[in-house]
Amino acid sequence: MRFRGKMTESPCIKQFINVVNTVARMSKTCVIRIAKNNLFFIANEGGGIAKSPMLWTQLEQGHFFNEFQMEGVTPENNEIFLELQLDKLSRTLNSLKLAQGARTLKIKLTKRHTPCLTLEAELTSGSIHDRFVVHDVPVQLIPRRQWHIYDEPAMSQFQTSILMPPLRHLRTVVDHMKSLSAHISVAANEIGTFVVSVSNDKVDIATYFRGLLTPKFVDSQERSSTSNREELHSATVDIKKFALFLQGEQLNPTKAICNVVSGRLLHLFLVNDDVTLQYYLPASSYV
Amino acid sequence: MKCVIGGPIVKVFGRAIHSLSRVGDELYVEPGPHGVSFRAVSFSKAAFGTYEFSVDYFSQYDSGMTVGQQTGNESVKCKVAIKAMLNVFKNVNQLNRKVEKCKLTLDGEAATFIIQFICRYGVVKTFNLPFIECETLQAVYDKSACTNYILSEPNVLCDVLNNFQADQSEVTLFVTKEQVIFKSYLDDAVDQTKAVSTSVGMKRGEFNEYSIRDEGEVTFCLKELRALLGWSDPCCAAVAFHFIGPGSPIIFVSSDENLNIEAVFVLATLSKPSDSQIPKLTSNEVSPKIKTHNVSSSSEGDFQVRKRKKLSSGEDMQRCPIVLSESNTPGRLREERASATVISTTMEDSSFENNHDKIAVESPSALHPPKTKILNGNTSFSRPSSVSDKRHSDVASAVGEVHNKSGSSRNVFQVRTPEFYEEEPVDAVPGTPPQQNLAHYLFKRCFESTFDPNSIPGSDIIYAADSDEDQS
Amino acid sequence: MSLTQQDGEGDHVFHAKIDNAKNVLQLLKAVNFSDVATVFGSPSGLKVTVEEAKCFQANAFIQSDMFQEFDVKEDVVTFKVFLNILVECLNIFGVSTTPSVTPTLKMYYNGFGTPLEILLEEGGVITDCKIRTQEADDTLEFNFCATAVINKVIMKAECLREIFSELDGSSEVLEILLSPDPPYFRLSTYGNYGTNHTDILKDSDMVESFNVTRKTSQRYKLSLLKHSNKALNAAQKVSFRTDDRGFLCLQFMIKTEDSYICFVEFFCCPEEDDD
Repeated sequence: MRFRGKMTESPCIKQFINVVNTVARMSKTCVIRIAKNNLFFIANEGGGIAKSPMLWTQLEQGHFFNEFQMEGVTPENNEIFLELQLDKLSRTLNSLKLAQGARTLKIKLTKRHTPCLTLEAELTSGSIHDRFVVHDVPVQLIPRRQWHIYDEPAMSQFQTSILMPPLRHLRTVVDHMKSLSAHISVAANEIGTFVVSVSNDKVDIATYFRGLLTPKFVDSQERSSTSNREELHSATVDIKKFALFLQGEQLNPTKAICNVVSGRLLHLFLVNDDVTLQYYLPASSYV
Repeated sequence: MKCVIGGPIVKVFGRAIHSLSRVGDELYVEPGPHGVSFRAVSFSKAAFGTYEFSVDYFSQYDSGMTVGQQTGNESVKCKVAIKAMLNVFKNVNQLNRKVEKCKLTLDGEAATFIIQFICRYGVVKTFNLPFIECETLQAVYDKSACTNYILSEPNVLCDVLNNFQADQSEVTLFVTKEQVIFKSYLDDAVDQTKAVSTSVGMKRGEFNEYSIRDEGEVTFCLKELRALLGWSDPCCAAVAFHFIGPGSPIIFVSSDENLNIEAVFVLATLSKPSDSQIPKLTSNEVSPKIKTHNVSSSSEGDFQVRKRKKLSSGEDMQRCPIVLSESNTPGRLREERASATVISTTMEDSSFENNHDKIAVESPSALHPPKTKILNGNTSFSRPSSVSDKRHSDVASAVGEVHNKSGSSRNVFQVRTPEFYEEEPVDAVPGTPPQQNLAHYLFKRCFESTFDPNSIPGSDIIYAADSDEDQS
Repeated sequence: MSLTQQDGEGDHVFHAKIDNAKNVLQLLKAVNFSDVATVFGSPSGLKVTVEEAKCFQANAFIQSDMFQEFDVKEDVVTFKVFLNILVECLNIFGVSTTPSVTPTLKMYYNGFGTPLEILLEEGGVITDCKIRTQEADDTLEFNFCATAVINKVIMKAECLREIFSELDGSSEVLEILLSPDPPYFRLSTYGNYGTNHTDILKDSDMVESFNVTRKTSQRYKLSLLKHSNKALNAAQKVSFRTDDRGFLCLQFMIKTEDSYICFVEFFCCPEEDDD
């Protein structure tokens, strides 16, 4: 098993740090899956439905890394799965940001007292001297027999799919609602209405976004013909987790999609050219 | 003491207070003829920090000493709760904007430290902080004995230290003639399979001055170095490292030449090279009350050696002492102590190898005859390589705190003991150690009172073996 | 959806509309230290009263001319509302990224037992809130009348802001001394770390008027006075008045986002002297 990757472009390093920070906020423990063409961050802790992951992030290796060598467990299973405390990786990477940014960042799998992801950064220091920093972040290798737990989840049978409003705006609204209730109801229909609402014994409050686009799926016409396009489909989910997902706005996604499986699940996507993040939020009553 | 600080440089003073607040809970104020020192020592006595503000820093200065009477009428020396000082210097960076003048007054009669801010718009803020009179707090260290010396710009050091996680408590400094490597030191309190390990290198050329005679390593707490940098960085005051090797204190010196301020921080270092893979004991073992004894004597048999494998973790966690004292006549005694140290470094270290965690109670009245011997315990650092398993106790109990309550002669020079503590509830005014620390104080004192330095060879086996085995 | 039922606005006991909800929000925030507020609506505007511990009261006045539409069907409409929730609702869009876009606010109330309905619209996004109301209780009457005022100081808020923010929070009381002679105006705290005084000269640039006829020194609960911090932070000027019973009245002049001059006042009873 070997892995060694090197990033030499500053925007890519920053973006990579950004992705790790975002994912780390959503899940403390995380599995990194290293494959030939992609790098995945997968989280499975509490809240996923039927053993499928709650969080699935895919990074296109070629975009981030200038050098990338890996050798999996066996030639047939040419992948590596390892588990780590992502907040540790995140804090470590952030220290690179502090020091005026890294010029190059090398990530490799090493054997110290324990398996580690070793980060070697070449920092741009103020002086003429380059500064090299080495961080060893301990990881645990995941044996082949457990890989299936981290398989990509299947697409859910949703009633509505909608492009979410600007996340920054939505996030402000949801953050204010957070002080009022532990749960939020998220609803959408086929004509581009997106509603978030909370209620408690003192107040009912709902915010309506309208005129949003709905992504075209192959079977959408078939579905919409059989149902009322104006009907709102909703799921009530944990507001803190939903708010965490919205922090993903920091990835500057080109689009954010919300699929609603009525009463059961929100399947959320943040899509960028090189990064895709999927987040599964089961309805609160189902947990 | 009465002195006045000009508005634009009050923040430099404020930052020094903030810096010291990260070292200890009490601020020692010691005015002298040439300026005033503000000092703090950590609870475990493993770190000591002092800021010496010379007369030139102040726009007015009166130490309160009566001229011509050198012996009798000394200026008041005291300590105040550092939290109270922080309360006064809350927003250091705003001080500049608002404060036109800052007056510091030690009122011995009222036992009050008065800080006055003369602010713009005719606003005057007065803070009256109660203090406790005390004697000089002094760490015993010898810069000139240090074989290694490096000097660096504070911002470069900040850059380097920023690579370490905020919760990283200790770093090891590996030095060679060409470069320095800072590496996180992971003690056993941290799970090695979970902790991030970081290392950063600095080339010789990055330093302003670089003189390494003894290549090697030294491990110390990051917290206090960061505390010092919190002051040095905004002042752009270069920071010098003076050190020898494992077990001997590392001394940081940083001075602002323009304002005539010198900061000196002395930190205990781990007495054993950090390389060892032997797991170490949990952090509470570092606490000063654990006085398990050094078992590394050559006279110990196989049993000891074998057992040491298990124990040594705790032992090498023990820090070397910084000998502190509160003395009545600081200048003279300081010299004495320094010379004692020097002597023992040169000729007596081997014979005192067993005495490292001796309690270095020091008082001018020499209530403890084995004083010299104790001090020598401090000196094994001169041969770090040969001393593989030395234990150096914290000097927690080493401070013979001499209480000289003004006006009451019976307590003069009396070493503070538990009995003293109980008899004198007067001490329980603001400024005394926090309540939760009382247990530590008492425990320490109890131990001290039963401790006989002469019985070490016999007692150490029992102490070390039992307590450590129980805990493992 | 309620946003379509804009039928017959005349039927409501109280209704109001304002193009920039921030004006109202700013004043409500200044008195937002307790969960519940009593609202008095009259043709001249809204008075929002918040009380604590039977000896402290805050009043925010929102004049009707700040609103584009303002209609009260009765002489006075009174109800109690959850102030913190009202503030949270009005603030739901947060600080707009484009300064020219401001949230438009409509409020309705239909009388006892009905909720306070709020519609906020910003950039095409609509928020609809229904906040339960309760019947109003009697509020405290301080009988603070101008003729009984002994001492009065008007000063710029900036100066007091600094001083208040640095008061020793470990002190239970704030002692206010006013005197025609030095130290003129002294604020003292008695905290865990000793006694602190802040003196303000009467001819300070920050003091606009200093009418002190007699030396008075009274103690007030610091925890209560701290409730005025939000108002102080938004204020431009502060008036300090004490009457012959030692009651304190703090008045804050607040300029809203659209430059309306508004007032928020606080009354506080003194602490009884133990000795």
